[in-house]
Amino acid sequence: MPGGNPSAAYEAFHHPLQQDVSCVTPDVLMTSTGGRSTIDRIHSLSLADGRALITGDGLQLEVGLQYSIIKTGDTGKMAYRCTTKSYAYSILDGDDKRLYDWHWHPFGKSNFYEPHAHTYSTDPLLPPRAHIPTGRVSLEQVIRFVIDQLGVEPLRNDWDSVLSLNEGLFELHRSWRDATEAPRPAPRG
Amino acid sequence: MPDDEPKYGGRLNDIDDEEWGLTMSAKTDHCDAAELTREEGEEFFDRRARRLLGISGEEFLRRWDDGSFEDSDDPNVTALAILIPFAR
Repeated sequence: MPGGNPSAAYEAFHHPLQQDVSCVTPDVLMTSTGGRSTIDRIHSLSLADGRALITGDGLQLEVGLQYSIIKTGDTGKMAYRCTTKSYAYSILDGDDKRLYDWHWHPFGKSNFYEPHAHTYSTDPLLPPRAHIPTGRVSLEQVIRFVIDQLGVEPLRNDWDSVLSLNEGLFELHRSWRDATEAPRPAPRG
Repeated sequence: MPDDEPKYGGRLNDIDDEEWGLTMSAKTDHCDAAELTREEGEEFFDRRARRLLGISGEEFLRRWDDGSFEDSDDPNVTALAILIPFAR
């Protein structure tokens, strides 16, 4: 999402994400040093404790993503934008057992570069750490999943409007949406 | 989750939504505190490394750099690797 300067671009990026997580947790998203203003460097964004409790019985949401603030080539209020470099969204139970992961991490230490999910199915046909291909998954989709499908009680009455609006912003400004368009790392030599 | 772990950045306590035309928003007065210093970032990363993999943040970075996690499919490695910018 664009902004007239690096800080404005960061705020335009961070604000919807913070709104999204506020639907299920009061915890804040925090960024690494320089993450609000330093351009052309990879920054991290994470929930303040890495994970946040989203139910009374211990269900946890884990949010981590990497992004860079870049120049767009435009001027004025479109001069800068944040671009996502990787993401890892997860749902864990109260014993820290992973239930669902949505990953995209094309940073060269994995052999699976496309966006994917891990479901930890007990189906013997599906390896426990199978990479199940997905399109690009937004944080809004994950939050909506935990509310709609897992029955997590939303913390705000307007959660549906918030997620819909922010999903729309995400779709408007994203530079890719599925595996065929996803950025890939340089070949390892 | 253990309650004795330090928290960074606080929690939302100011809900105000006029800017976005919603009945509530996540705009928070904690935004100024939501960027960690290098020292805080290293501490946070170390704590996450110990929680996710049972090793120090420094040890994770050493193994990451020497390729020990090459082709790893451990989701805890992925979750931690995404946080590396907090540590350097």
